[in-house]
Amino acid sequence: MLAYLVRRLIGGATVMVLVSIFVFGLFFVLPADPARLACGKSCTPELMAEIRHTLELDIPLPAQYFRFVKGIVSGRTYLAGSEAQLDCAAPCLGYSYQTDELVTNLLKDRAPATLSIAFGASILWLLIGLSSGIVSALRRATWIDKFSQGAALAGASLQIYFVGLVLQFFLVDKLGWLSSPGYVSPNDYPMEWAQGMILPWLTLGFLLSAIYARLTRAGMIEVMSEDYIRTARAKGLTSRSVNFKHVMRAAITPIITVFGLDLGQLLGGAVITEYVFNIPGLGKLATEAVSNVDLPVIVGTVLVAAVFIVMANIVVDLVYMILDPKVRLA
Amino acid sequence: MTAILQVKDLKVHFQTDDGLVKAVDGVSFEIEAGKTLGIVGESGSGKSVTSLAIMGLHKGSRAAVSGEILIDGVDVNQATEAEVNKLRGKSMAMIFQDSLAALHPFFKVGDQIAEAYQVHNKVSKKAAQQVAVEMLGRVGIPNPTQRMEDFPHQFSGGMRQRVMIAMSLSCNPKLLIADEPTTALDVTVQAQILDLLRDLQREFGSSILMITHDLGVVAEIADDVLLMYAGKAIERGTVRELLKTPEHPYAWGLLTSIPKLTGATDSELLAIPGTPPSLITLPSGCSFSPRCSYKNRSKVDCESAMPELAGVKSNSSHLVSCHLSETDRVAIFKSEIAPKL
Amino acid sequence: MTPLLKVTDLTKHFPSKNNKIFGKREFVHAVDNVSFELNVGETLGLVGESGCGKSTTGRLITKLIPTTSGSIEFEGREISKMKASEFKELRPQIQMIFQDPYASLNPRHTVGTIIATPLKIHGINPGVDVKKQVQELLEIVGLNPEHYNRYPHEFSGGQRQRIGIARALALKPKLIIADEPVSALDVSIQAQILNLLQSLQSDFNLSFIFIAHDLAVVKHFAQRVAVMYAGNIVEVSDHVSLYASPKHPYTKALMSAVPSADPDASGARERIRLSGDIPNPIDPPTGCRFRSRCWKAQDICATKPPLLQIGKSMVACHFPEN
Repeated sequence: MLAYLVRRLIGGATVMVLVSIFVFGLFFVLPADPARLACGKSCTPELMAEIRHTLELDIPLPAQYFRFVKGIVSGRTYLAGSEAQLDCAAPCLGYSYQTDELVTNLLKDRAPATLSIAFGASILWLLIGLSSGIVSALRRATWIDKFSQGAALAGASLQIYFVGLVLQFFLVDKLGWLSSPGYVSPNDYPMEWAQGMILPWLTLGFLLSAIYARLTRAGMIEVMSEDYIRTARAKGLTSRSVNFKHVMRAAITPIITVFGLDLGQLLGGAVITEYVFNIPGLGKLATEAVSNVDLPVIVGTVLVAAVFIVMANIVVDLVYMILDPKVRLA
Repeated sequence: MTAILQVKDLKVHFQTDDGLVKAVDGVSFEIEAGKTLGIVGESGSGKSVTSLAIMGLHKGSRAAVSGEILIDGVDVNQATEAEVNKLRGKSMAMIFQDSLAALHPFFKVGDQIAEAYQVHNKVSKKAAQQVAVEMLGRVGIPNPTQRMEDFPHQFSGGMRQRVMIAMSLSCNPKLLIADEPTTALDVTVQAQILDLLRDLQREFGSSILMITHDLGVVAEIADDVLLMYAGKAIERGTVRELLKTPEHPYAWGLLTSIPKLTGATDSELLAIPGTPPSLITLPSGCSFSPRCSYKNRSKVDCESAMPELAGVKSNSSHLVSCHLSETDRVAIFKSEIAPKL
Repeated sequence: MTPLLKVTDLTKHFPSKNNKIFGKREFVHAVDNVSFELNVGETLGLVGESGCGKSTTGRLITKLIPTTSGSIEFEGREISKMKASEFKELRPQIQMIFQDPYASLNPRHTVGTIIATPLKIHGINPGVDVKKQVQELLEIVGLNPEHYNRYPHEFSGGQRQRIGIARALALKPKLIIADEPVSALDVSIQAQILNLLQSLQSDFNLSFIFIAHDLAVVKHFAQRVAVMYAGNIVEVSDHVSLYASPKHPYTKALMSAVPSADPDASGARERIRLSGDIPNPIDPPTGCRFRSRCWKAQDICATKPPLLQIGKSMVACHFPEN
C-alpha cells in the first residue's frame, strides 16, 4: 500500500513537471512578448530592455525554467541587490503583468469562491443523482423511472450557460425568489454567502446529477443481474438488505471513482459556471488571464488545476484500492 | 418415508421477443428426507430453471411460474416474498456452478457465511462469526480463522466451492440444491467435493437436489434420477434403473455417446444425431422424436402427442415417457444398447 | 523415420504478474522440460488439470507464443526459433481448433468469409473458385453448403465447432492442435464432433495433438497419451495401458477420481483422494512436482525423478506403480 502510494506520488510529480514545462513553453510559443505586454503604451526600447531584465527574460530558456521551478520550491528574488529588489516567497509563481500582484495571492483570493461552488454543488449532485438513480433502478420501467430518466437525459444534454441563464431569469429576475448570484466570504456573511451560491449550486448540481443518476441506475441494474446477488437472495435476505447492502456495495465503486475525478476537475476552476454567474473564482481568474494574455496568471491557474486533477486521480485510486479487495492485493 | 420437497406440474415460461419459451413444462417429482435426487439434462433442458423455481428465485423476473412447489408445508409459488425468505437458507439452500461469480467479490468470506447464519438466527455478529469458523473447518478449509478474513478471489476453485457449501449448510437446511457444483472444477477436486457432500449429507441429514449434465456425477451421488429433455421429465427412476436399464431412447443415446474409461475403445461413438430443439417451436408430439433413431419402430405415431410419463411394467418407481411399447424397448435395449454399455 | 513433430525440453516461463519494479523477478513455470514425439497419422493426447501447462504446450507448438527454451522440430526442421517470415510457409501445415467456438469466430463475418480468409492469406489454389472450395469444406464437416452466407450466431454450438474445424482444414494441414475441442459442448454433441474428427483423421491422414481435461474423451480419441502435472509430463503411454495400469501415482489418482456412469464400477474401484491443491507454479517443488501431494513421497523425491520405461509406458517417478 505504502509502496503503491509512493509510486503514485512519483508519477504525479512527473506529470506536474511535464505540465509545468508545457505551460512554461507557452511564454515562448505564443506570439505575445511578455516584456512588450508589461511595457504598456508609452514603451521605449530602454524601458523594454529594463523590463526584460526585471522579468529575467534576458537569460537562456532552460535557466529561466530552472529559476521558475526554484521559485516555486524555495522562493525567488527579482533584481537582487538593487534597491528595487522584489522578494517573492515560495511558492513563487511570479507577478501578474496586469495588476502587479503576486500570482499566489491572486490564487489565494480566488480559491474560496471555487471551493464554495465545488463542495456545495457536489453534495447536491451526489444526493440528487444517487437517490434518483437508486429509485430508477429499483422501480425499473415505472413512471417514476421514466420521469427520472427523462430528467437525466435533459440534464445530460443541456449546457450550464443555458440552464444557468434560464434559472436566473425566472428565479431571480421574474419571481424574485433568490438574490443575484455572487460571492461573499462565508466567514463574514454566512447567509449572504449561501444565498449567492444557491443558483450556481442548483445549476451545476442539476446538470451533473443527471450523469450520476444514469451511472447509478446502470450500475445497479448491472449488479442486480450478477450471480452473487442471486446468492444473497438465496440466503433469505430481505430485498432491502439485498439492494442496499449487496447491490450498493458493488455499484458504488465506479461512482466514487467518477465523483473524485469530477470534483478534482471542478476544484481547479468551474470556468463556465463562474463566468455565467460572475463568481470571482479560479475559473474566472483563468478566463480573465487568458483574455489579457497575463502569462504568469495563466501558468498559475493551469498548475493549480493540474495539481487538483493529479491529486484527485491518486486519491481515487487509493479509495478504489480500499473499496475493491481485488485491486488491493494485486 | 416423508417427502421433503414436492413439485407438482411445474411450468416456467418466459415471454421473449421471439415467442414464448417453455423452459420447464409440467415437471413433477419429490425428494425424500436424506435422499439425493439427480436432475440430468443438457443445456436448455430446464434443469437449472427448475432449481431456481424451487428457491423462488424467478420472483420479480419475467418468468411465469405455475404449479406447486411444497416445502415445509409452504407452496413456494403461492407464498409472498417474505414467506419465501423464511424458507431460503433455512429450509432450502443452494450452491452454484461458478463459485467465483456466486460469492460477493467485496465481502470477506467469513462475513458472507456469518450473514447467512444471522438471517435466520438471532445472534450477535460475533457468535455468527464463530459459526462461520466452525463451518469453514467442517468443510475442510485449513486455518479457518485466518481464511475468514480472505476474499473469494483469494481461494482456489475447489476451496471456494467449499466456502459456498459452508455458507449453504450454516442453517442446517433440509434441502440442498446443488446446480452443477463440480462442473467448473478439475476432476480430482470434483472427487473431493463429491466426497464432502456425501459426508455432510450423512452428518446433517439433508436431502440433496443435484443438477448436473454428468452421468458419472449422478452415479456417484444420487439415489434417484430425473432425466429432462426440452423442459420435460422423460424418465425417472432409481440411479440403477436409469443407468443400468434405461428405458428412454435419449437415455440410451447419452449412455452410448459418452466415451468410457474402462473397456474397449476403438469403436465409433453412437452419437445422438441433430441438436436439441428450440424451446419456442417445439416439435409436435414427442419432443425427442426428430432425433430418435427408433421412432420408426413405434406402433404409435411419435409426432401425434407427447407420451405420458408412465410406469414401466408394474414397477411404479421407474417411469418413462416414450411411445415405444415395453416389449420393443426391452428388445432394442437387449440387442443394441446393452452390448455397448 | 523422422517423426512429424519432435518436442525436446520445451520450456515456457511467463513473467509473474506480481513482479515488482525492485526485487527478484518471479516466473510462472508454465511448461518445464516437456519432450515428446508425434508420428504421421497419430494422435497424442495431452491430459491434466487446469494449470498443468497442456494448453500452453499447444500454443508453443503453433508459435502463438514464443518459447523460453527447448526445441520444436516439425518434419525435422527446428521451428521454435524461426522468424515469422520463415515460419509463414509452414504455418498452413499446423492448425489449431479451439475450445470456445463462440469466441474464436468473428461474429461480423459470414461463415464463407471465415473459412475463405486463411485460403486467401496463404494463396492456396489461387486459380480455383474460393467459394466452391469453402462449400466443399462445409460439406466435409457436415454442414449445409448453402449456409455459406450465414453468420456464426445462426449456428448451434456444435455447428460452430464444425465451422472452426472447416477453417482449420482449409489449408490442408498435416498437424492439428485441438485444444479442448469438445469440452464446451453438450454430451450428445460431443460424440458427433469426436466422430467427425476421427473420420477426418483417416480421410486426410491428419496428426493430432489432442488437449483435454476429460480423460475418457482422450482415451477414446488418442492412441498415445501424455499426462501433465504442474508443467511436467509425468507419464506417456499408449491409451490402453495408461488406463489399464497407470504407472505414475498422479495418473492413478487422476483415473480414480473420474466418476463412472456405471453405478457398479463406482463402488468397485480403488479410490484415491488427493488432498490440497496443485502447487504454486511460481515456486514449484524441487524434484518431482507431485511429491507435495503424493502418498509415496520420500526424501529422494526432492531430486529429479528418473525417466523409466515400464512396459509401454514412460514414467517420471522414483516409486512407480507396478
